[in-house]
Amino acid sequence: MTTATASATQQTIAGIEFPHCILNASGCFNPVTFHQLNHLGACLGGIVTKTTTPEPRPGNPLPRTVELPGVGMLNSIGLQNPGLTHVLQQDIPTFADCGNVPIILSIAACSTAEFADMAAAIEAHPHRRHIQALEVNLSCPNVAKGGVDFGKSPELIADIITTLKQVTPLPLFAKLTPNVASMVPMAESAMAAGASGIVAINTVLGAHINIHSKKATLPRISGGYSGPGIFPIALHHVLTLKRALPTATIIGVGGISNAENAIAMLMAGASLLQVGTQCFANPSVFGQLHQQLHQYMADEGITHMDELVGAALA
Amino acid sequence: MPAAPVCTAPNTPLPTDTLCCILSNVQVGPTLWIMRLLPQHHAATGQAASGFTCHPGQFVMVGLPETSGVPSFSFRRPMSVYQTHDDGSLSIFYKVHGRGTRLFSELTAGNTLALTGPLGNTLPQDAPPESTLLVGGGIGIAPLVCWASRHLSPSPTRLVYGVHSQADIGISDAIESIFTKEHTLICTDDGSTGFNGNVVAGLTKNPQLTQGITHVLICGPMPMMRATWQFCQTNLPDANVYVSLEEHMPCGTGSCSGCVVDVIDEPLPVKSCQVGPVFLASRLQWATTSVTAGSNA
Ligand SMILES: Cc1cc2nc3c(=O)[nH]c(=O)nc-3n(C[C@H](O)[C@H](O)[C@H](O)COP(=O)(O)OP(=O)(O)OC[C@H]3O[C@@H](n4cnc5c(N)ncnc54)[C@H](O)[C@@H]3O)c2cc1C
Ligand SMILES: Cc1cc2nc3c(=O)[nH]c(=O)nc-3n(C[C@H](O)[C@H](O)[C@H](O)COP(=O)(O)O)c2cc1C
Ligand code: FES
Repeated sequence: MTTATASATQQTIAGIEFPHCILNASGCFNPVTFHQLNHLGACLGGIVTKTTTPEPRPGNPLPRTVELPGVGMLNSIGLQNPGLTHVLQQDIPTFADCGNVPIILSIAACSTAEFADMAAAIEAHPHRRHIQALEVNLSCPNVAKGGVDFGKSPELIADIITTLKQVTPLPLFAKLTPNVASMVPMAESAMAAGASGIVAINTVLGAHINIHSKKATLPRISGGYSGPGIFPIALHHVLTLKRALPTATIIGVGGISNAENAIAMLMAGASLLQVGTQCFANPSVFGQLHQQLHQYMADEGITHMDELVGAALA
Repeated sequence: MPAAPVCTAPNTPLPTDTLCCILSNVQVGPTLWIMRLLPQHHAATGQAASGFTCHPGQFVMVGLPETSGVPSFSFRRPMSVYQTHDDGSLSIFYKVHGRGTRLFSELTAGNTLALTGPLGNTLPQDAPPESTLLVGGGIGIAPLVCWASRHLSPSPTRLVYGVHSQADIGISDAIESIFTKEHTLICTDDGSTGFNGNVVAGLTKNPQLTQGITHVLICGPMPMMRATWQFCQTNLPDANVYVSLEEHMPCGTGSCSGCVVDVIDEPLPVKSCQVGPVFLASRLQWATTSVTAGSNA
């Protein structure tokens, strides 16, 4: 059995050397437990943290998740997180010991000024040296501008990315919501403002009703749909974004649950991938995808994964 | 980040994700089964797995089988470790509740299941067996029996076990082999055997069971755990009371924050799969503890 060499799936993006093209998706992955289960250094391209906000957030009432057998899940976690200070102080050095892979810190805030303050705090922190990039989660409502979702406004996205770039030299990846008519204007705006790439997609809005209680299962009624059922939606968005912005780096995420999905997402134009919900069904997913992707490339005589990126658009 | 677990044992084995061979899957009651699983290979690498070890109170996440080879998404199901065996296998004692546990019950020896564990903290290891009272409700008995079976035989520990009916005991033989008759009180809702009433009524009518008790370990449906904790506050005010919560756990690995509970003096809700499932009852915010946190009795 031949497999492609380890370097076949290495990627250098925005100056960051990712040892492998598959990362975890934000909010679905505890690096410490997964390192115990998988030896992340051997199979993960990088760690993306749970989104942190400036201050701690207690999150939403329970139940926060609904299992959707066969297709995935709904979540309404409400961005529970211990706040930026705690994440920088406690979590980042711990994650740095989990396989020695690049760390991408996911941040969210409720105004441009708050984003800028977060970036300044990150720059000033001694653990800044462990962080290779920021993923800017643009799915929070903008409190200052009357609750408009950042992720739905090209102007606000430009404002945030431009402001962040003035405070930090870290590469910025803009994570965008698919819950819009077209993601292209948001992605164009983020790239024009200096983002190093687009992370697509965040969860798709969805709901579940318990027919016995005759009520919505989630206390907040709607939640974020993720898992295998959203893969075609994510693939559609990545294809569309890559066609509209051929030079932009796209990080493909949404419903990837097997090697076939991962390869298709690369062919749609993603240069890096993230896997979220499948971690719950299969905590060994990273090791398995790593092995299967290399096997596919060896079988097809592909020496580097760049030969796959965007292949379906040619 | 969650606070330190209340009772992490030293030398707690690190979790692994393995593919297990089912050695047996035996029905022991109308809806009750015992499944014995032998870890064989690491799921990611295919390397041979070593035998399963854990401390009582820890749990595993068991992967549902993919039916007819068609990939199908499911959360894994959290199950307490009921027994560990010399050959490196483990047993779970489970009740058929919904889709996942029904699928488990349809499996036979030789089938494969994925299993991640051991996970979570442990029941207190230093609780003296002779002054410890175990209070189990329904399937919540599983971790308590695991705890007692690690001590002297016959166990000097006292057991109060509440079930709906005699047929729901499931593990009478194990209970009789571990606990003495004088230290055991079975409570049935329908009076088909033992004491006719719930565990709190049983404890109230049998004060000898609580005499000299310093530690109480409780696992069962939430209303039963709540009532037992109230009983302890009145009748055993100095005892160390622990509850093992069975909160819904989508991941079991501390990845999703779907399983949180409110704990006194913690600024944020804590992940019960990581900080728990065992909590000092006095540390829980009972007023806000989810109604879903409790076993399917
Ligand atoms: C730490 C822990 C230890 C447990 N130990 C045991 C045990 O030893 N034996 C046993 O029979 N049961 C145990 N349970 C409960 C068991 O996990 C549930 O009965 C089981 O998940 C139900 O799955 P289902 O597919 O049959 O039900 P469904 O209702 O179809 O499940 C749907 C979803 O809800 C979750 N769920 C439903 N009920 C519960 C519950 N009471 N607790 C947690 N999640 C639930 C499922 O995991 C699944 O994600 C334990 C739970 C926890 C958290
Ligand atoms: C439980 C849960 C929590 C999540 N938390 C975050 C988060 O904090 N920040 C974020 O940008 N995305 C979050 N996501 C979205 C994922 O990162 C990902 O974009 C989405 O789930 C689609 O990918 P998947 O189908 O592989 O899970 C979360 C998803 C889930 C299921
Ligand atoms: S079950 Fe996911 S964090 Fe506890």
